[in-house]
Amino acid sequence: MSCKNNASDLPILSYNYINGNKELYKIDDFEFLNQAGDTVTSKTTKGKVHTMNFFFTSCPSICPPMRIKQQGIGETFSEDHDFMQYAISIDYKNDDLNRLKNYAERHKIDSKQINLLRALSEEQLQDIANVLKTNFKPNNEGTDFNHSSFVALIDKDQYIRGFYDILLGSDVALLKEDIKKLLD
Amino acid sequence: MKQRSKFILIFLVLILGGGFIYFKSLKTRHQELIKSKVYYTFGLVDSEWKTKLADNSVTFTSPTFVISNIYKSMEGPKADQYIVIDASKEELLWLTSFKTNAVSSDETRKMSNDFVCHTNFEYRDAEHYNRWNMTERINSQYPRITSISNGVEAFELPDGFGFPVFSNERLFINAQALNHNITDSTFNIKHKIKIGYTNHNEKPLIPLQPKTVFMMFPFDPQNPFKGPTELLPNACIPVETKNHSYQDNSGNALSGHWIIAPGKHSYSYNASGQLQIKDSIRLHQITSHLHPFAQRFKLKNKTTGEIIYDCKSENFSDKIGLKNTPSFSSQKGVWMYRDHVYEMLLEVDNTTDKDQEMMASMAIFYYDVDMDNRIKELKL
Repeated sequence: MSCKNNASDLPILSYNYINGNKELYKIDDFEFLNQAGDTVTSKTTKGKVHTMNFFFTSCPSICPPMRIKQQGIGETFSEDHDFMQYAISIDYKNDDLNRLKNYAERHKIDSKQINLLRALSEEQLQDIANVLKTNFKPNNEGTDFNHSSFVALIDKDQYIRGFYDILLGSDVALLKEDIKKLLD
Repeated sequence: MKQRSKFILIFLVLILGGGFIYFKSLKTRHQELIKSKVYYTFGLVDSEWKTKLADNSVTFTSPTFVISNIYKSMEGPKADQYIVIDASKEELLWLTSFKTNAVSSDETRKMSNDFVCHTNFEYRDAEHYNRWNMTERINSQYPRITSISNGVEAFELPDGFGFPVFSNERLFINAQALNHNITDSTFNIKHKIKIGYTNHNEKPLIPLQPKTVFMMFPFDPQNPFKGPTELLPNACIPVETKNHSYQDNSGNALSGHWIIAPGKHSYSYNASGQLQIKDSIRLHQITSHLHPFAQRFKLKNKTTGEIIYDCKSENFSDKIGLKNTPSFSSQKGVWMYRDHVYEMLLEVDNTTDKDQEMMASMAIFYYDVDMDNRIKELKL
């Protein structure tokens, strides 16, 4: 009854209604490059509990505190090789691999815990935003983006099992509990 | 050896003395957080939430709250919890009623609701709206369903209406204790929080959307406790500047908790900005959250002069506290329009000889046409 039971208590939240009927889907159709230049696809994430969220390296507002929280989560699960966090840049035009690599080095982001991902087109970004049920948009001046501070938690079978506002301490604690449930 | 023991003893006394001085320098609510942490960590009182599922209702029982001081609003022991109604299935439920009672810590006796500051009921908007593919609503407003507060022990939505959630959807509740009067004893209480619901399979209801609107008044952040000045003639004195402080679109500081001096005072606030009516809405329910000494709280359509809600709250005469704060409930509903101006009006009477703290908010529910259409499309 409480939130402290097991993985089966976590609902599957990756679904759409097609003609009024609920249809589940997996987060299994994407291809990005990480800060090391390696290709990351659904084959990489299959069998891993992982999170996905949006960011961009020149983000002046919510990304820095989000990154700090994610690094904390990474430390908590540093011994769990079946857990990974993926942060996808929404500024794919400016956040090239060199910039992602520099960003990771500057902020001491451990690539074994967090991968910074680069899409190669707007279409790729929209596709992943749609399946992660989030959105982003450039601001009026085109110098910045509005995006949410939510991360999606995805299980080993590639279904979304939760959304968490990573800027809230209580949601971070809940996310950690849920990651443990999915890893068990 | 004796010398060493002496140093250790002095060191411990200094640590304890310093800790005590630091503790006493904290505000009451911070002291209570530390005290609760100690009580729960050492198992001195019950620290766990309990859940009891029954037909068409679920009751959550809070951890024990130790009442050992005077607690004004937001100062008492508190507890938060993520909750689910029934994780074993995924059924659409309609939340229809909300109730909180203070009970003895052994849960055998009902206690006075003088010890209930509030219970906040919240949805988690990313999960809630993503379940309906209504992603555009995420982050559009604070995700509060409603609140129970001193003077409002319970309320029901109008017959036939509800707030839709799934049985395995995570919600969030926050309970906080209150004590305006008792100073001569220490005792333990719990809060029993009951949510009533209807299963969609038994009876589909009409969805309501919640929104909380609250009064707030300007203050000078450089000199917050000075009160009205020539430059800010309608300035309030904020209770504190850290919490319940906001900024308007021009960056001016506003407070939603303010000090009322002894005597009668009236306040008015243009609520149109917070209501953010994009199209006409049909209002069905209002529950107020007021502090003691509030006497009358109104929602007025300033454009037409119509008083939509006139809440005459009743204060106890022999102690500090709200006895009753009537809600507004209507099956037929009241239309509210985008191009009309809406005003909240508050009258207070501080009958003591000391400054007191005030806040005034309305948890409103209005017909959610988009959700209604969405639910009708689905084969649930």
